[in-house]
Amino acid sequence: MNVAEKLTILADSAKYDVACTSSGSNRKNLNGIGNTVPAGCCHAFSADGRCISLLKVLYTNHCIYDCKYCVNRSSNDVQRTAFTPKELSELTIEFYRRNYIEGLFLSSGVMKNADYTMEQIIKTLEILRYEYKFHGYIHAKTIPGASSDLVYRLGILADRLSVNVELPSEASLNRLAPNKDRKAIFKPMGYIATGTKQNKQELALYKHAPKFANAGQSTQMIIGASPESDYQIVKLSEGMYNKYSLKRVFYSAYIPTLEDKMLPAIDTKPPLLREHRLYQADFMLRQYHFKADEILSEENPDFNPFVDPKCNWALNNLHFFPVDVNRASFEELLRVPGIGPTSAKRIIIARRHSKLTMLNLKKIGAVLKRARFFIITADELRGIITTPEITAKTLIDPSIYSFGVEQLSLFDNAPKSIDINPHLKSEFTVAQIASDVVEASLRKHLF
Amino acid sequence: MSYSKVAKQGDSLYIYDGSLQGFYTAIYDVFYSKKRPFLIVSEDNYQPTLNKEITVYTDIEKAQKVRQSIKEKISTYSLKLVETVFIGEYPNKEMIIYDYLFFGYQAGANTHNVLTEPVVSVALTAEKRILYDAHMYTGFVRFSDYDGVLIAKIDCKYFILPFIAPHFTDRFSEENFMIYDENFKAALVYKDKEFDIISVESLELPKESENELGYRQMWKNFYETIAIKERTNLKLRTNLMRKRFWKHMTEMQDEN
Ligand code: SF4
Repeated sequence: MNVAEKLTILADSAKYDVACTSSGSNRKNLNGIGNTVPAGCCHAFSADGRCISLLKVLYTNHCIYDCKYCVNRSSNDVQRTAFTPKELSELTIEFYRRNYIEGLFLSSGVMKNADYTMEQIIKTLEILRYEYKFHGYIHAKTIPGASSDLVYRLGILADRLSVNVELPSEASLNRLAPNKDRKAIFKPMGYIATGTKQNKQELALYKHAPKFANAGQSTQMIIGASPESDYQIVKLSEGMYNKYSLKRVFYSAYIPTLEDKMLPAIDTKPPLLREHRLYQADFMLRQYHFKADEILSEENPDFNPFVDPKCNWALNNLHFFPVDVNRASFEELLRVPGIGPTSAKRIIIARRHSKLTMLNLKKIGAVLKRARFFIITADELRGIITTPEITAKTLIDPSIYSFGVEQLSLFDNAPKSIDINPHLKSEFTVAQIASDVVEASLRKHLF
Repeated sequence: MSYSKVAKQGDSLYIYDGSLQGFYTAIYDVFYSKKRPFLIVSEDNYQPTLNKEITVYTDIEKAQKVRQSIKEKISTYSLKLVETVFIGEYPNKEMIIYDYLFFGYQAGANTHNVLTEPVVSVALTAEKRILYDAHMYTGFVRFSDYDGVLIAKIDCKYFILPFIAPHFTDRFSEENFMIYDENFKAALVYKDKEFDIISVESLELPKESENELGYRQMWKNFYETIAIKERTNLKLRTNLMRKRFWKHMTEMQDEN
């Protein structure tokens, strides 16, 4: 089989991995080829609208394991192949020279055993780093069950390491990935976290100590192949961010590729809206200083399909509002629906020069469509009050229209209405109206 | 705080040689006249009008004074903004910069933070758009290998070659390469570790080698394979990668 054919097979089986960022690393070129930039860089966007930054491939799709949800599982009848370290490193360099990619994202099925597979991956990266003097971005997946010294060697070669948790709970993992042990996942995650910590100390002592996974580690889990609630998932993410200092958690809507009685039926639509909500909640954890327990709870364990999680929080915490844009702290501004870090920063800068009015806010580029219900400005001291219909219409997350009716039906178990603070119900009877409005306009759109 | 001083509108047309020094000289002369010009325009873009025409004679000393005064009376940030908008060839850049500076000499170091002032937000938008395109092109440039030399074509709205030069010269420091901008008929040329931006009227490329075509094909296959059918979302793709970038992207050749 030639390299072109291998590439098609091994890219095809890697495509469900969603992490493709090249961010978090900053390195200049040193008489070789390549560098990295902290913000990362997209080189193309595929037909599904995802950023293509890295050459994302498996080293091999041979696998001794039989994880139910995976196209590469040993019992699946597909064509198998593997790169050689030389082939893959040359391909990476030639793509990189043409500026197709920012680097390599290498993952793999398990060939022979975990350590053997790790060694092949390490060999590939060694050729890239030492023979080609490649200083571009490398994200490598460690193989579950690999020994700690191999994880360490991989970390010296890669900018980012990741171990996929795959499924959001131990029970699901036991059921769907019978040969994978949850310990075998969290152990390497622990090695990496410790490796990073130790490396920081080494770097403080010797400036030239080799850097260990300087862009940190990330992980990925599959959403919708198993029954966990949104609350459980957000809790798990929060826990991993804290315990293993993860840089990112990626969520991947389960796309059925295989028939199995333990899995959702083959014609199940991937839960894209739910995945979208998880990313929004994740952003709240990382950027808006929210706690998982503020976003969802035991009693309300699932996302509201109609409004984004931040807006949902606001509607459940109306006592926090209105926020005075001329006085509020950065953190408080961030809690206003529709105000993100950029707008919050601009508000703080602009209000040094003059008291801000609604018009001022518009001029500095803040989007007021939703925010205006939750703020007071120099000219609107009571906040804007409109009819419940208008409020409901504007608070609905516009992106749900692009997801379509099908996605809403996936939320059938979720509460249909927006819970709001009871004593303010007269002003904000957003609840039922929101769902009616959305359903009605979606129907108009689609039928 | 308010800055109510507005320049009286004059009707003179200032013609300068197109260079940054020339433009700074024009700014010097304009401010000396105490009136807002009808237009400041480079020789290349000049079209006869009925206005009073004033030819600007580039004067390094005047230019230096203007540059220095922006730095001292406004800020280095503003100087960078002004030069980005100028070098990036933003449409109507001369008057955008003039208005920004007129306001800036009153508002001082804070100028770029007065986001509620239209002349400031126009200039900031101009800067942002140029740097956005430059950033996108660091990803979207596609090189082909011609006998060891890497050559790429782009067709960009703004003149971004000076802004992407540091990125590519660091990344490919051991290579020889060229990025040709069809729109501005200019090329960034990097050879034997030296780079230059030169004007190039047109560029005929030799036939590609088998090897080169092989890599292009592999890249196209990869591009197609990596998309998840069940998640197709062409609108999102176009939002993230505007069609104006597609012309010379290897993988977009079969798309419209
Ligand atoms: S170990 Fe990885 S590649 Fe192998 S079947 Fe499980 S998920 Fe798939």
